[in-house]
Amino acid sequence: MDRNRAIIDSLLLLLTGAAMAVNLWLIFYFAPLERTMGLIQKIFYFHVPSAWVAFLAFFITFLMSIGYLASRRDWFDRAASSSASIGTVFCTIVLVTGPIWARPVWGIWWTWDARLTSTLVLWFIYVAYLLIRSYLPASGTKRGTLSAVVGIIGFLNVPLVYMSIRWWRTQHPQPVIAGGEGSGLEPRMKLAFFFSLAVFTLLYAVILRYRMRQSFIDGRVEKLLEERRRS
Amino acid sequence: MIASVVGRSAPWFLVAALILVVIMPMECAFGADGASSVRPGGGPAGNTGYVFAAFLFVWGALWLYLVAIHRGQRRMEERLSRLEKSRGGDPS
Repeated sequence: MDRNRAIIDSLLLLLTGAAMAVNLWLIFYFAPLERTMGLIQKIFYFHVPSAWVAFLAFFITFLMSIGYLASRRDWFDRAASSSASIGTVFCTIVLVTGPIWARPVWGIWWTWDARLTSTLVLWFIYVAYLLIRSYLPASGTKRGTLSAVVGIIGFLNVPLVYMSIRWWRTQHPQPVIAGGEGSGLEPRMKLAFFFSLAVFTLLYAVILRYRMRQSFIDGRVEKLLEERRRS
Repeated sequence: MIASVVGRSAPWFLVAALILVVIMPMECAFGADGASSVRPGGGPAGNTGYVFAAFLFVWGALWLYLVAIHRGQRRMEERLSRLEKSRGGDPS
């Protein structure tokens, strides 16, 4: 069992590494330079997929939190917290790469427009989620219940972040994908972008697998310590 | 056997990918002969610095996160193994 898991882990890691290398080749050699922004636009191929993974991770947290409240099974709680921590990492990447892209293009690092502010609020919500989990004791159902509630309510901000550039006038550009008439990407850019999206999704799945395993071991340790305390 | 071979080569594969992250923006900006190949959008040198910063942050953050997970997992596995041994159970 352990041997099979090790083989699968190694193969997944290799596959992700290879896909990332191809992704970089597509980004820097295959996709053409954008006419007005030049090289700096290459950040787009990491910035947007990171945002997609963050949204996906928070959606999984939302679903798993509902599952936990409905069934009280630890597995849902573990999946929710694992996904939330990955989502927070990718949300951090979005919040850092965005200003790095903005500085040479907009001339400013940050502005309090609807997209940027709602993304920052989203990040704070999930940092709070992780803090709640780290401060509350693992035994009992209090930690799972409270974090599930935050996981569900926190997700309500995700559609707001997504729609913010459609609902309000923002410094952040209008959507390039599914943005209606006049939007869209050059075909080679589109291929590089969707490949990047797929690779980041694969990366999320691989990291989630690792985090779930870690969380499972944490749970077993907690259980044994609890047994020891009682005996 | 396969797992150990693949497992041993995986970190090197990731190191190679990291090197690509550094080389590719440089070649994309300046070309193989060092001449600027960047068209509009500001000076290539200035923008290259921003691209480097962004890509290194992405890879650095992901790498550190994976290392943190790996170390945490190993620590917990060792702790679990000790607990199960002291309990007299089978660690497997």
